[in-house]
Amino acid sequence: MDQSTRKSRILTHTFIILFGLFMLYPVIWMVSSSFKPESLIFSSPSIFSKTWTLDNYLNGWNVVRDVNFGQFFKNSFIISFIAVVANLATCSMAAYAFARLRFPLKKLWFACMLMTIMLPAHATLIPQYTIFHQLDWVNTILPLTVPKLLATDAFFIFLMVQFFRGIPRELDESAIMDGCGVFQIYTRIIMPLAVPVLITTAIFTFIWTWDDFFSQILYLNTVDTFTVPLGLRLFLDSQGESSWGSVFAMSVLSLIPITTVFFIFQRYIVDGIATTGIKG
Amino acid sequence: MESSEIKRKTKLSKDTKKQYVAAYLFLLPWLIGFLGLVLGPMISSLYLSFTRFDLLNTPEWIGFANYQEMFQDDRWLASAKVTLTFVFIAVPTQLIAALLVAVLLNKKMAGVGFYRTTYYLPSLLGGSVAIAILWKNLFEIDGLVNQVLAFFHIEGQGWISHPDYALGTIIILATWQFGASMVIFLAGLKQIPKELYEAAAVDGGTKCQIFFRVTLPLLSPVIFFNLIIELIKSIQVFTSAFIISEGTGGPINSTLFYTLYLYQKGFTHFEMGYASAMAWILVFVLGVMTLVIFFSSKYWVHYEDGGKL
Amino acid sequence: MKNWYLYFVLALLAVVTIACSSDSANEETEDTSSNDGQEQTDEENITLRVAWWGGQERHDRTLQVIEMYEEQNPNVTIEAEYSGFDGYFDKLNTQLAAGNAPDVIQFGGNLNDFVYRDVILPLDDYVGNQLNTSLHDQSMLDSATFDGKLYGVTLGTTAWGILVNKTLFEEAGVALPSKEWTWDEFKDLTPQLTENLDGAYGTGDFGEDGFGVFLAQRDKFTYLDGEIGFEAQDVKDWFNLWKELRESGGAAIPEVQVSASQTPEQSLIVQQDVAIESIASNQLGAYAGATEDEFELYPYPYNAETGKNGVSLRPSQYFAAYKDTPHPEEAAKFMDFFVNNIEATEVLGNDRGAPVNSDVRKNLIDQADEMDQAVYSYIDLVSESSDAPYIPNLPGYNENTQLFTETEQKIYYDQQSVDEAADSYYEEVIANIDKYVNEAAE
Repeated sequence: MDQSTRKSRILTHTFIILFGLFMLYPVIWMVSSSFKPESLIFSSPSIFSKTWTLDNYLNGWNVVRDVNFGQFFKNSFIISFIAVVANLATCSMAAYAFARLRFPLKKLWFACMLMTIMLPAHATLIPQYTIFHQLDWVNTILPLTVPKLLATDAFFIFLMVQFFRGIPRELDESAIMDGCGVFQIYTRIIMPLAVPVLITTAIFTFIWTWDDFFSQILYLNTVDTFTVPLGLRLFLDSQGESSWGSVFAMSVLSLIPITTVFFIFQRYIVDGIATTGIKG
Repeated sequence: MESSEIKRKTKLSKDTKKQYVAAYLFLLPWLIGFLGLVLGPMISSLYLSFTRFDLLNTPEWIGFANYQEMFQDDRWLASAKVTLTFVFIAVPTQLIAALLVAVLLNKKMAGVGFYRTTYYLPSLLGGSVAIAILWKNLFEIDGLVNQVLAFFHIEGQGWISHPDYALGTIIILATWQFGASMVIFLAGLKQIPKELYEAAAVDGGTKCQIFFRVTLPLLSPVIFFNLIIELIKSIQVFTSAFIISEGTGGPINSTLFYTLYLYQKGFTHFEMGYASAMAWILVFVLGVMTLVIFFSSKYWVHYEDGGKL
Repeated sequence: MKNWYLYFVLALLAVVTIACSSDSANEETEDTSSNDGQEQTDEENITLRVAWWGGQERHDRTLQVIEMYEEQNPNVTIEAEYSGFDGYFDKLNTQLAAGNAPDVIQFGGNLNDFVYRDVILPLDDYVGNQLNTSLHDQSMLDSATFDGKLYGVTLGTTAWGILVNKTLFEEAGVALPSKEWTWDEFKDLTPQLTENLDGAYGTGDFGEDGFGVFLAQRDKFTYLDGEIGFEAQDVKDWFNLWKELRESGGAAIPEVQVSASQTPEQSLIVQQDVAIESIASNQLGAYAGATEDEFELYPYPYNAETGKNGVSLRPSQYFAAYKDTPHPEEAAKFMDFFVNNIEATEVLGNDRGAPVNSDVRKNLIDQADEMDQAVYSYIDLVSESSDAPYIPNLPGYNENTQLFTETEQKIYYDQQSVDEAADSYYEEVIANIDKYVNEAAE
């Protein structure tokens, strides 16, 4: 019995590791490219290189004159952090209303909310830009953060609705018996029990904001406001000379924060914090 | 349950009114955002879909002409076909891969956090510029994939540059980036009370039975979510095709996804009216599909709250 | 204590909204001239927004020139809005649509599309005053002239040329051709390369650029001043030429050709998939820097019948001003500095192509390094011996380029015969030109 579980455990691990290598390959390749001299990156694309160099990191970090990647990292952190806090607060509020409360026009609003996910972003880009331009928010981080404070990431509202609905209603009812109002149910029952989905939201918001190139290039004009994805593209001119070595080097650095965030927080999704013994 | 419902109705009590107010307070940030930032642009794009608009000059009303043109536009038809093919293959494969890996990585074992991170890494790379280069290196005619195939004496293709296979490589890329659905499944698995598993084990269920009788039903709200979201995301797939085909949707429109064509029309061919019409057709199709899934959900999605929204 | 969380969120919302709007309002009064009372003070302190795309090198050089300009014009602050190429035109289109475009904007071969849509400022009022074009090549001025008005200054000249990978030629044991080679020699030479090289082909397809040169060698052109200058037969001849080259083994097979990237670093010639490729001369540095192979720039193969080479000088990029810029004179003055000032152009070098101002170019040639020397001498060669007029890119640049590639690929993969493909290309390209020129003008 013991032996066979050990055997199956080893088998599982081998399987996971083998498959994991397949998932890991691009990163290994990227890291290896980031240490290659520029003249070898494309002419000899193998992972193993005859020469190694740190130039890409040095050259990449100091992008142009006064600006270095430190600034881009800082800007990305600020935007991503605000986005996380904002999404957690406001999306969960909207989701709570949709999942638990009764109110007129609920179905209409819910359909509207879903529709905002369905409409391709390119179709509303220009009117949206015009609004932010008229508010004089262009070239600040406001167009990238205020919408999150207003729960425009309907994806997360829908996600939370689905999870909130998985929390048994008897809990609410017994809380009402204890004299709790809707606000207390939200703060004392729903939020603590929804920790896995809140963590999921936080991780996704952080990573997706960190990676979001298109809306950032649209709203940020000057290089001191630039974020990491914009910084990476500063090296690239599709027709002229590009510094691909720097791109790889800085891409590797840019992966570190999001990988770390994922690694640290993923365990709270599964291990949870306060969720044991809900039902009992 | 029923009697309390009746009581509430007959009184339309203070409590009910209070709850309405509370609900709208909770909804307030979203409502402000929707009415202030989202609804306007939506209506404006709907209006533009009935116009000819080159982005810079005043839109000119042309009625349904954009919508009519679409059905005679070979590239539009090609893009619809490419997208639907992608959706029907990529959505199920991605969901199944994500669910299986999530179940596998939901166990307590040494290094599981590291494994989860590894499996999420491809999704972290997302639409980064490096991915396009990597994908070419893998799938071009003297790429790694063909080198591996040659080892087994199979002669490969220029996968990425052949119109018959290019879409396949993008489907592989999409499947490989299943991380987001995996994480959502993991969160969903966490929500299933352990007691139910224990009870099922006591009743003598095999692992397989438990998976189908306990895990799947209780996970159904999350499966439902992932299904709808993956459907929407796949129909809107853009970045991977954009970076790999350098924005062209080639070779010969074989990776011309719907939103890629929409983008080309709007931003590189300066036909924003047409692009907007395309967007609304997309919303319509997605809306119908979503409604169908919502109606079907009665039969297979199990909610702890009794199933009423 | 009760409801603290909700109040907290609402308060946060309010604070952020208020803080932000007042913040940006402050900035606003500093740098725009939206209200009339301020117009006077703005005369002294001007902010000029200048946008371009490029790589690291270009950013560095351009910023240095901007600093020089600011030093010499203390009343002008330049807001540099630069980025990589990705997203540059999407952003510009959005800004133009919202009326928030930069004052001075870098364009490529697509300048005409923006002129047709009436968002570019004609510079004629400033020529001779703020902007001196007396020493600029006439063909480059022509390239920015539409309906008799000048819409931009050319930032660099370039010319189509043939890039030859000398290392691969040596490896194949094929002698380098003379610089006055013909298409027949080209057809002889390329299969030999393919045959003697392991996994590499003689040449990559010259594509749409090559087609333009091919037409010029026949005294024809694509489109100029409202006139179509070629026939469907020309398209057929061009595609047949390449079909023949593929059949003889000289040109890369479809699956290799289609995997070609527009990026120099990822091009077929750098990856040693082909030994010959058509490039723009100002890209030589980018190609050479991406590999350890040795490259040389060749003229296009000559047409033996007409004896013509067909290559002409071309603009690489332009600076143009936004039609609604509040500071047109300042914009013109800045453009003048950028292309005419000796120190400024020394800093800029060959990054955007050889300078248009002949004095400036002479000055630069003296100081150039080996790579740039090669580029300049090629430009000189073209400039002295050019036997073809400058023909601008087709209107609807992006759409038509894509159409050309799609047509090529249909032939590669036998989805259409050369005749079918060429006919439908011809039909569609004419419809596109009509769309961009005539509809936009309405």
